[in-house]
Amino acid sequence: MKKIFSTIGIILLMGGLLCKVPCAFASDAAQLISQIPIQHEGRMKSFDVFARETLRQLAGKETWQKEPASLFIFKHLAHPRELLQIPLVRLDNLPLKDHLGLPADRKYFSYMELKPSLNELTALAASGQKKRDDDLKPTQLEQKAEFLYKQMVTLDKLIVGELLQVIPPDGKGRAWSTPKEAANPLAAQFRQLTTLYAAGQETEFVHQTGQWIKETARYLSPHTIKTIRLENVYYRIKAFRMAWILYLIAFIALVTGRPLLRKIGYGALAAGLIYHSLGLILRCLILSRPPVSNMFESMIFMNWILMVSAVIYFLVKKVDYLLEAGALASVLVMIYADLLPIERSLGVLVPVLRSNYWLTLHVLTVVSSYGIFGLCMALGHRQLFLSALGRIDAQQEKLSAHLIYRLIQAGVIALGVGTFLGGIWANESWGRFWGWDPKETWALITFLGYMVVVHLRATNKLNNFWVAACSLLGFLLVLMTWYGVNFLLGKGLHSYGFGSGGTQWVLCYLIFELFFLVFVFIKKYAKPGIYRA
Amino acid sequence: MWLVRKIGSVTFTVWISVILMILLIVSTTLESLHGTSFVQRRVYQTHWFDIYLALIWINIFCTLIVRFPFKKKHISFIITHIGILGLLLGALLTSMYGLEGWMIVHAGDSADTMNIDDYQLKASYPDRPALMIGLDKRQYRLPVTDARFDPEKKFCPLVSAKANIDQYRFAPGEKSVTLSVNYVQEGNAAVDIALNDGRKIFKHRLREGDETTIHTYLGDIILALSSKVRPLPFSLALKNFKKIDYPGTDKPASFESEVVVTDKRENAESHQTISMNRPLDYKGYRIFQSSYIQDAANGDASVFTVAKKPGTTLIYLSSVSIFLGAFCQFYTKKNGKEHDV
Repeated sequence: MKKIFSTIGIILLMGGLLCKVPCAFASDAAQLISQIPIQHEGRMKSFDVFARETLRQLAGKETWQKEPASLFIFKHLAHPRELLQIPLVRLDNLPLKDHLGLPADRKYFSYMELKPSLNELTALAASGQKKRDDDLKPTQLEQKAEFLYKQMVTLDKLIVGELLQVIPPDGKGRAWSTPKEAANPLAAQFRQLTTLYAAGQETEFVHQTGQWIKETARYLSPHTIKTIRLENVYYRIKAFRMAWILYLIAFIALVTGRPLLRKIGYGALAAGLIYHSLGLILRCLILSRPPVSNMFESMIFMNWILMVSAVIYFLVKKVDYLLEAGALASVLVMIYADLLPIERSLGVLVPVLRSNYWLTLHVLTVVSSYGIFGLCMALGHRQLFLSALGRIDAQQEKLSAHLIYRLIQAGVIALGVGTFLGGIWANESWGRFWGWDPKETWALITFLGYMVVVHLRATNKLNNFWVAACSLLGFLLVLMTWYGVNFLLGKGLHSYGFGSGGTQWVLCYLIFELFFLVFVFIKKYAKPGIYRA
Repeated sequence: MWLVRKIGSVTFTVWISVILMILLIVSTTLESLHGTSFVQRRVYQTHWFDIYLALIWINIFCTLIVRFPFKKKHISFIITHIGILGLLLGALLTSMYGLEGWMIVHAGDSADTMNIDDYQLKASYPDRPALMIGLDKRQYRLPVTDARFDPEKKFCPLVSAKANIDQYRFAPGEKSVTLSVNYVQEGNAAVDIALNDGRKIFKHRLREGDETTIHTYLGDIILALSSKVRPLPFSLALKNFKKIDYPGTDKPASFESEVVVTDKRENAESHQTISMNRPLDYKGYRIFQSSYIQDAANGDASVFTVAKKPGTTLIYLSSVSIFLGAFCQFYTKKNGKEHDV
């Protein structure tokens, strides 16, 4: 019975979502525009993907006034100078707005509005770069200025047409060119397309664009064509967004505890995990590499491991709260990944990260350990919360603490092995196994922290309450290693993972955690004797 | 035995780990504020840090002693903890006998020395053999070093609290120049120098790679700060450097160097390729392609990291032993029991 319900649940959820896909395009023209191949940042993409990534970088979203990015950008290709007046560039940072003399209450600015402050901006970005060269950390203002500067450069390139590498090259392996620089008839043909679209001659446009796609396909290998199609699918199904929505449904359904709802919960969770896996697989297929290169990828993968270990332990231990805690933690991490203005595009790798299987093993193992520690953290919250409310008996609390302890053991081994593999990789790439790089040092700090927990618990020096509390505190160390080193310290050899942004959300988490810990500690120790196991 | 028991206790292990954690948290924060070389000099490469690691070694050694004579149930515990002892020994071996440096070789050129992460101050008159003052990298701020330049001599004599006075002849007299050096940290390495020719004091801040000429009334003196150079038992010639970009960008996808390695003693040549993640092993040295310089005027150059790390094998074996032991400890039936607290 359970199986039938789950299956129905999965089919309904999947079916309902897949129906959405064909409706994503309003017209034939839109459909065709999204398929035009373009070379962008070293990879062949579809125009749709190119437009989404570009608009995301500029405006932080993939549609402009409800118009899909591809249509919005294509519409302006014939007369790109119109883009100068459109407030496309998103700028949130108040100190930077203040510094550049821009109104604080507005979020979006046009190129022309930003142009007067370009000198100021260039100076800030240059001083930031100078500091990086001197092995110093740029200020927050300089980092924001660098980001805005990059946005301006992108917009500038879009307007002058340098981004538009749509004209196939003469020889294999050469770069594609823009309609401006290419002298061959194809360039004229492409310009014709943009004029037709801007003039609204839809029938003619559809006919010619169809031809264009056929024509350019001759220059692409079958593998590239497949990749472009997959990437279109990847962007359209929004697998990760679907996954967290399904996890949220699963969490709500499971928490109610009613038998029928629970079955729906199982189904939703399974469907969510399928979407999640699908998204990861698509990313791997498109990029022909594992998801190891940036913060977004590592968050999604960490979450996947979190869910997989929750499901595995659920199948072994048969306790529902593993799934509940796992689903809630996943929802939060994935919403965060969705909200974060971080690099999420499918980028190419710097040489040191390429074709090295030590690296792949290293990153996957370390991120797996984060996933396991994440699950511990979720279970820790549940246990502490219930015990503070007095809704958990001593036996249950002991079981929960033991489960956390066992998971910490697994996480410690994964983190240790992962760090060791990182050492092997470092020895292959940089010539040393260990060099007190901040990332390495923080991995060691985290490892030591959890080792202390393991040693104390193994010698019966840590009670159930403290095991759960340590799972929370330990995760703060994980967060620092994973996020903090790259985003706050911004130092060392792991520089390809550096960036900034999302700090306010991490701060929210820290404040929440602080209040939560104060709450459970007061509940535990203010009335001695009542809640002690 | 009481002391061994104390040092070998879990309580001691926990304290020593927690203190190490706090120490490392502080040092990474300092690194963020003051740069990598600052913490390398002030924390990781200091003697007290070595002593602290030795303390950890003693702690773990004592935990093993305490359990003697060993029983069967101790096997996995012993495997894990002997692994840690081996790991720390490997680290010691590497830090004592290990070498690391870099060399920049232009295409068509060759080199047989490497630069190491220490600095030297070169001081000379034009067309005279130079005086090299080594700057100890373990010390952040050197005691003031005085050197007097004697225009009559072929070399520059040196006097300092640390240097061997016999080695340089000290020539007092009216016609002498006093040089004071003060080592400062400012992102990269730099020294503050003060040159006194008896009439005027010339002050100057010299950064790594800088060379400056100071016009004293006794003649010109050239000062330069550079990294220390160490000879290698082989020479490396760069035949060709190749960089492949991702199409349509200037982002490199890979880069590699075709090199010829010549053994100085045996005079044997061998042709090799070094690329990112594929280093060359040569007589105990590993040579890595760590970076490159593309310069239209002077041609391409490869930046190689050269390293000799004798402890690496021990570190690998120890690590494997740690994980094997830990796995057995965590996933054998006895240890899976639930704890009663």
